[in-house]
Amino acid sequence: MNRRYRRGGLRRARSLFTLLLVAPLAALPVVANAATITIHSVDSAGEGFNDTSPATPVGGNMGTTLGEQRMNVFKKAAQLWGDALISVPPIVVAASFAPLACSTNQIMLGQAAFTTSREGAPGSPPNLWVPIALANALAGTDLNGADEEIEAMFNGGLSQCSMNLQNWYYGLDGMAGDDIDLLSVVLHEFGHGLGFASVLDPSDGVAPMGLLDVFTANVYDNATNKAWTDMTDTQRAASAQDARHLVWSGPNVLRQMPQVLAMGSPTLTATPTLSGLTGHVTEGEFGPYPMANPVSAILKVGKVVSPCNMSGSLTNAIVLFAATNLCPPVQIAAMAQQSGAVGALFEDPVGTDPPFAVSVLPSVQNYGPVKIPVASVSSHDLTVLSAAGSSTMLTLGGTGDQRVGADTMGRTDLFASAPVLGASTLSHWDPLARPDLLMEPQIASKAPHDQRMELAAFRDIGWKTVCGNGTMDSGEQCDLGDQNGAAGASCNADCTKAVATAGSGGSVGTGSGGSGTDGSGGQVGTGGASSSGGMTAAATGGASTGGSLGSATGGTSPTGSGGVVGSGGVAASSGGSGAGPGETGGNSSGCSCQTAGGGAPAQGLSVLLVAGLLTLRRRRLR
Amino acid sequence: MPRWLPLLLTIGPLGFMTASCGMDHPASAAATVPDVATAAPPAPPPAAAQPVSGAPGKVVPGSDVTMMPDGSAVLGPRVGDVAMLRRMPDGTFKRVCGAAEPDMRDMIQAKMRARRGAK
Repeated sequence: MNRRYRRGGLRRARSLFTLLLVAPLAALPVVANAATITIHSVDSAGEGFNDTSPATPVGGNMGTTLGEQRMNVFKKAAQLWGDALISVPPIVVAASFAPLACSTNQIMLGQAAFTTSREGAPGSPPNLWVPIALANALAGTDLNGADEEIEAMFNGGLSQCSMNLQNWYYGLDGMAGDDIDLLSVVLHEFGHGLGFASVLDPSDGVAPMGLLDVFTANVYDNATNKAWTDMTDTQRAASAQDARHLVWSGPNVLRQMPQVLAMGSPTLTATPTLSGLTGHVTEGEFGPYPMANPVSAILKVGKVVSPCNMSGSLTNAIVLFAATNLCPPVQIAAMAQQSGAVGALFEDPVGTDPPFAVSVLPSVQNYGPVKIPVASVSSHDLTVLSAAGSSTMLTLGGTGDQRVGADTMGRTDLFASAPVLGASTLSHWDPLARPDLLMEPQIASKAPHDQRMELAAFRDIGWKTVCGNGTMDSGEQCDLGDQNGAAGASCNADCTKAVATAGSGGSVGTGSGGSGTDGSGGQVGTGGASSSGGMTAAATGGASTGGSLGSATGGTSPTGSGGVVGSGGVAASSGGSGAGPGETGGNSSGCSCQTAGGGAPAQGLSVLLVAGLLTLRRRRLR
Repeated sequence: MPRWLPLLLTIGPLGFMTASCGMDHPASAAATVPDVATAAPPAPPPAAAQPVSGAPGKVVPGSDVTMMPDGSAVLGPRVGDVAMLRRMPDGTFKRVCGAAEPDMRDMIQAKMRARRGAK
């Protein structure tokens, strides 16, 4: 329900008769409304948001001073969250962007958090801490009066601290290149401030006053099959380090996940079995995904020598590299490939299990290009693998029916890490997720702005969202309220129309028409230009500029007339990292900027109509 | 008379009454409630903790929790997740979230306290 809609509603309430109808309704406790999030700058004159240094408009940000551009980004993030959430009380963010002190090993980008949490407030669930913005929304009144609900602190001295190696990108279009996309970082941090965070200390599992919070109430350990609500402090502390076993159990995320995460969870196994090997890998930001290009080969430990060289043959080996300061991973992988390697594993220097992704700046992402699968391993697994016998065989591949960043039951992985990384552990998705999610603990090279998974999580913790209010609002294809995304529902969790069933789509490259049991199959043309295929369900290309699926795939539909229509993004050279579960293959440069409602999956007759139009259009193009 | 005036006159007082019904309206944010550093060992109880919300709440001893007259409880702020550049062995930076090192955490807490104190 956007603001324009609300204004329209007021204009329509013009007669006394209407007033008589409206007056009794006004006495109801809560009136659904999109939230208003405002930014309250706390910076001093001349710094942060008040920096008057001239700036050139960039990427849709029309500010002409540095301060204006910063504020415009904050306002954009506030608008994106505000338009999606429902709250009568306004949400105020106290924000600063002044330069912060530099430290040697870490340079702070920014942080935000809710100022307080409430327990026992009207409308809130009992015996749980609720972040104040949500508590206000549930109460329908501003419980904390004039105080801000979120406090945000960002670093206006990033360039100085990084010796000008890293800079903020102030555009609103996600095209940050090698710079850091401020909008995605602000969106992420506001996400924490709105409630994507636990008040528990994951290092000891202790809950303040013995009370959990609405976030933690959705956390589940699939190794012990216990919800965190049923655990002791000690059990929670252990669970917080149980990498790839901590998942989100809330039903809304469960419903949303299939529209977002891709198939093909990466796996690493050894023969003979290695004691202590977790096999936890995270896909690299370059090279094909292991699922799209699985390899089995002998393990070799690679050695990089100064200045940046490699000796010896690596023919038909999966090569393991420890973290090094001699050259970046993309260059090492390219050298290994040239020496005959068929796969490369890199120790993640952060050292945690699970590992963060092997990252690369977008400008050198296609260095080489690297055509062997690349993944990161933890320092623990590096040690185990390094000690393995010389005849050890490794298989780097993927599980075709498991989504990247979810467990076998379809529950999205949370970031359990060993060791615990402060408040980051628990309060993020696992860095494995593909496409990259907004609330991952690693800031992706390609800035994610897609809020769908986080909005689903917000519904699980108690937020009402505009998508889900039962009214079809601007940008939505449907809205069945609580039924969005439910089994058999015609509307997805993100308010896009549900395709009959995401069937087993044809492989990318040559999409095939589906066949329904009850009707004629969908009709879809030839696939995009992806070079390597993969499993594709319903492609939702939309406006993603880097989307790799030229046109999507058909699928079999058990319920009838459901072909699947993708109308994907612009074809890329190698399969790719456009957003949406249809993506396959490997990394490609581009922006994964899909937002809810992207793409246009159709249903029933619409499918045939769209498919027909697509066919006609293709014929004309030919 | 503007067309919207009757609507305002009807809804305005109702809205005001709803907002005023039994809810606390704290005058200011916590001025001296210490932040809890999540990465650090458990902090000692604040020596002179004050209510998180200015008004009539009572601090629970040894905690940063304030009990409000309506029976609800208010939990003080935490230093949450920090987005940062982490220097890698090869000299590049990794863009991650993580636990702030002590000097960074101290700086964040000091700035938060200063802001709340200035209010």
